[in-house]
Amino acid sequence: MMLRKLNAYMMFFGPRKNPLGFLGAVIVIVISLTAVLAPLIAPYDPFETKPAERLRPPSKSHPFGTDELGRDIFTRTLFGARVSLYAALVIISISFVFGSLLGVASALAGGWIDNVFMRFTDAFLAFPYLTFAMLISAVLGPSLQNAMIAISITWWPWYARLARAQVLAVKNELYIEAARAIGVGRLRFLLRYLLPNAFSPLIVQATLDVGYAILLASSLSFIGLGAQPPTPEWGRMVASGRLYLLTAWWVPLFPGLAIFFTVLGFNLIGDAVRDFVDPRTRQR
Amino acid sequence: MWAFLVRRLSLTLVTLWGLTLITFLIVHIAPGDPARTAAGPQARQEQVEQIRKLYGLDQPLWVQYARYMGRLIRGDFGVSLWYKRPVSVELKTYLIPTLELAFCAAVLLICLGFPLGILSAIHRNSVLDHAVRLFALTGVSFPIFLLGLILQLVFYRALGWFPAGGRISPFVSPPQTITGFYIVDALLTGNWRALASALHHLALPAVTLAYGSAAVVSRMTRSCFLEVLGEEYIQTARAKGMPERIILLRHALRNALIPIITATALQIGSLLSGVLLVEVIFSWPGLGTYAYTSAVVLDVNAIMAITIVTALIYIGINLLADVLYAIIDPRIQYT
Repeated sequence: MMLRKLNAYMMFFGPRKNPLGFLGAVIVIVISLTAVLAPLIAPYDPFETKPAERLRPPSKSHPFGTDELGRDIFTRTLFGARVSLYAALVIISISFVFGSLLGVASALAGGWIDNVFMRFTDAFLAFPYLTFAMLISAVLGPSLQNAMIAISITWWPWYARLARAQVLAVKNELYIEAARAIGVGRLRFLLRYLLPNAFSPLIVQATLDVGYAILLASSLSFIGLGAQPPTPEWGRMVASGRLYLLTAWWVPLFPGLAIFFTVLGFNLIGDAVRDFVDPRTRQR
Repeated sequence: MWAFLVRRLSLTLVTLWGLTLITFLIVHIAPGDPARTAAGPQARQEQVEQIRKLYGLDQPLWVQYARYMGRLIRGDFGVSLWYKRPVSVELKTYLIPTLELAFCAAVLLICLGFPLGILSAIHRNSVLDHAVRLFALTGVSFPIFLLGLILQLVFYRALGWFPAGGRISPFVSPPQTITGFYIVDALLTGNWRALASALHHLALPAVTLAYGSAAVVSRMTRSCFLEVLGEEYIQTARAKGMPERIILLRHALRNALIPIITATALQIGSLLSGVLLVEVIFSWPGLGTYAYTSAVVLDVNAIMAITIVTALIYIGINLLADVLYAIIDPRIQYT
């Protein structure tokens, strides 16, 4: 059993089968470990300011240099992994739960309820996501928590639509009819038969979305509506470092690259998962 | 065709109504007191009450909604809580530069995305194909604000080829205003100096804005094209000795076009989100900069107006894509 699992895993991410997916997995594992171990591996305190050492270029003692308050950028970038991964996880969880509940309910109810729910969902999709998220976080007040709520509000409709489509597709499968025919109880039918079969594409979509969630959360922070100083958040660090771009390029560059590599890692994994689930795209 | 258009337009109206309802509810139900926000943190209680009365915030919610809709229909977005000027006046000055930038980026996106996708599909697994794949992968993962900063660092600071920001050089007077679009106005008045300067200033922000979307479109074009190239009618066309050029352009492209147009419309729509960030980086005097300054002071009226206007454009783009389907694919019958 263990071996079979390992084999399946190697097919996913094995360095030879899918070098890019493997690279993505490595990046994501490194970033996740960084997030967990940040307090242990970081050389400095992320909040400690040393005005005498402000805007120092990268060196042996400060591999990414120091920022405008003399804080070690390497340390702050390590801690930033915590903030970004946490934000992405919360955003995806909220929108996943809310969206799929509404989507499943809509598909099962059918009729006018389905129609009303779906028009409601469509109206949410009519906004460009960033302006909409901006509006909500401006109304709620700038903070990381509110930014996460704002992004979740713009995000759940995608899951609602997908969940609805999946339930509708699975509903007519033969094994579902069989389960119904032998008289499986309502709740058991829902939890044992319908949902597990309908949900695998949703979970794939959720892994694909982690990268985008990180991008969007850091974009809001970049505008000043997300994490507030002195939180070591990557988007925020790029925003405050932007003022020193021409004289001290390392201040905005390293946190920005951290966003890039994290998102790249998740996207590579997402591609690999999609190829694995949908073999049609594999040859291309 | 006309029946489809009417049906599609009436659906759009429903969406529009839903959109205004959602923005209204978000702003009015959210915790926090808009009167207090407008009055400022130092205001006394009487002042807050005065503002509450002035803006009609003491009325029941449905009265407020009716008034708000009445104003919206007349194109009145209320008064900016910060600048104390009507938001619609500000919007007019900021909208055109944004449209100019987004339009240039859309042109770039189409001119880059389509050919790159088609070429990499035809020359599958070649160096070009791998390069396009790398371009696509980095494009979807790059934070747009970081790309803007890196381009500024390389092309402005290191090489000095392009300006760091703004719409036109401060040493060149802007073209006489006819449409408000600098490029169009400069062309119409034959003001070549202004045209050159405007294009020079557009280059970096337009490339920044288009990059990620062009990456997605090239990838999408590639996979749609490959799918179509495997179809039997392509083999038939090849078997009867049709020139490859005609097979690719007439048979393959036309059939691959529908999903490509969907993806392109979505990407052009997403330019409206990206433009906010790009404008802030390149100090482009458009909606993004306006949204940014409004966000800093939490000017909810202004942000609400920007949200509604960009959503309108977004809906318009999607509507256009739907109409294009019906023109391209005669099989589509919307009944």
